[in-house]
Amino acid sequence: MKRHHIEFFKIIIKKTAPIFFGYFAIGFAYGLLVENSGYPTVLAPLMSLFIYAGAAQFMIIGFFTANTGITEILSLVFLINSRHIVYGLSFIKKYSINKWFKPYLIFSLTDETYGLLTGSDIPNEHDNPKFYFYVSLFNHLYWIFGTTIGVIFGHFITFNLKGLDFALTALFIVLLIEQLKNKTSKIPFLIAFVSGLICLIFIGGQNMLLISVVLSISILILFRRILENDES
Amino acid sequence: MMSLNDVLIAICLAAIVTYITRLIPFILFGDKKRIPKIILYIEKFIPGMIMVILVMNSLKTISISNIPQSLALIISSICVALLHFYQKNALVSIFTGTILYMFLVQTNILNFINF
Repeated sequence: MKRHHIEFFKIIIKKTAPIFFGYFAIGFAYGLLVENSGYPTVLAPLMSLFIYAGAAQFMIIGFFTANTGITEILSLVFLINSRHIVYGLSFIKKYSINKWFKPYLIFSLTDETYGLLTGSDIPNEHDNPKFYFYVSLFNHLYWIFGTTIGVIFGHFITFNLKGLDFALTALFIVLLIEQLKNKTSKIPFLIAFVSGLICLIFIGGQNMLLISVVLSISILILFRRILENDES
Repeated sequence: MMSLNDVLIAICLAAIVTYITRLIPFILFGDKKRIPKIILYIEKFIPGMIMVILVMNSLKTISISNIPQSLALIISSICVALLHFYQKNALVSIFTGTILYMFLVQTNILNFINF
């Protein structure tokens, strides 16, 4: 391999190392969970390959065992992934390229890849599509790898996995706290909290997600004057 | 349990739905020069708001009719939150909280609490 290729991949690995640990661990837990549910071993890696969305994948395996209806599954998958709709907004320019891997760049835009690629420390000579592609690809491979090791492990060792799905709740709490640490204005969080409470009390259970989001965004728009002055 | 057939169909559809969520901004704004200001405004705050709602959705089973499990959820969630407030490693926060929750629900330690 040419010398600058080796240097390039060294940088990719260094940059994606933190994601490796995270994705391996949660992928591993996920693999264990799926293996424990009784479905074929190959299912988990398949999901990690084609869906590539941790929160949704955890949620889905619960739906399979509970025999949930397909419309409900799909609407909840859409909702739980709806935050990805805004991720692309930060990449419209960066990804307006004519390369064959553009669809893959879009496909692999997860929370962590988003965080990694919008972070401030990409050296100028690497701020290009090829770099984004390999970062995205490696993260995806880590996720598939963790899942695969998890199912293999789960295949040979059975232990009581009750409560493992709490990892998903924990992940959301962690992501929330990172958001809280990053944003100065706490008003949007309050808006969402109040919307959520209202929906839980008056609507409850299943439909709470979509309506809370719509309600929050509506209130957010009403608060536009106040919040735009806050941030500037 | 869902049949394997239905599961495979669900996975294909879920993959498509997930891809669509990531594709939407590129479809809507891919070839436009400027993104409308109101979208930029919402973009800033949506991830945070959605996270709040997702956490609340995960914890909605907390109720008086289910004290041991509700308590386990509350205690473990506080554990995760505190850990992550005071240190940066996401894995430590998630792992510790999850182990704690699994311990609480598997050992039924909180079952003696009944009002």
